[in-house]
Amino acid sequence: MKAECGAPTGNPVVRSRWLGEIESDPRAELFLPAGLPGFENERRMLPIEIPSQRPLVYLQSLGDPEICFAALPVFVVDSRFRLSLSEDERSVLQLPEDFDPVIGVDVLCLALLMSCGDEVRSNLNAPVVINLHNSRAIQCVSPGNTASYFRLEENGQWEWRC
Amino acid sequence: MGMAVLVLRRRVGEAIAIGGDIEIEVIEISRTRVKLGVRAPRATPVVRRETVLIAEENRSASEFIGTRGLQDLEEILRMVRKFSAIPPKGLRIAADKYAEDTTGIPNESGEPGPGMTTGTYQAKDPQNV
Repeated sequence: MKAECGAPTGNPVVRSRWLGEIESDPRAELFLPAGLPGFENERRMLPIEIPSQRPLVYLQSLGDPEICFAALPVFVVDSRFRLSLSEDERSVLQLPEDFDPVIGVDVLCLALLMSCGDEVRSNLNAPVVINLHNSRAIQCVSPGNTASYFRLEENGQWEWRC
Repeated sequence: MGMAVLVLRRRVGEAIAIGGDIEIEVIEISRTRVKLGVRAPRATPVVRRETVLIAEENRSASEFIGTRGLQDLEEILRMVRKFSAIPPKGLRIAADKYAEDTTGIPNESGEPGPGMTTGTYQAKDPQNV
């Protein structure tokens, strides 16, 4: 794996079981006031990007080196994705009520990757949404059909499954 | 789940009790939504139903790298890039802008995406930290 190594800068070093040691710019740290469902105590995470692996983004827990998620920007999975935020989610992200955030400008939306047997899946009903203006983040779980998901096909396309 | 459903009508300010230590109060009713307040012991998890499934998925997602391995991840990425909306480096078109920007990946000017800073990857004995 090609790694980009920078000169030591005195920034804190984060340990990851999977990625080794990562020099972390404190400004990069994400704050998840509610953690993630199933990981409610993981409130501080670091987004990590390896240039050779773009567009993949790792979300490494700052509290536990074992916990690291692999994610893709939602538009990589489905270019038609539309973000819908509840009042509570807006509140956590500290977004004004009448403000319509633009993905890529105001917020970053990441879809977590998961395995099911040999399949690679991603659920766009529950993207991790990051307010790029204050680094607050939340997993926005839509109240609809959360059982549907996208499956990565052998030809590289994502197919919606229910 | 095969259980009987008890249906109750409540007004704002009224509540129902479940067992001896859980209360659910109707705080506000709007045209399409009901705001509820739940009083429960700290040890009792109170979550939206849809997050139960997502919690399971997240546990699976947290095992993704370990299950697939970093090598397999490279293969997955190769597949993803076939149809992803990621333009070749240096090329940015409006429809594909997000994929370039949202990851904080350097764009043609070498600058990270808007507002996004990421960690710097330093390969130092992974698996052994």
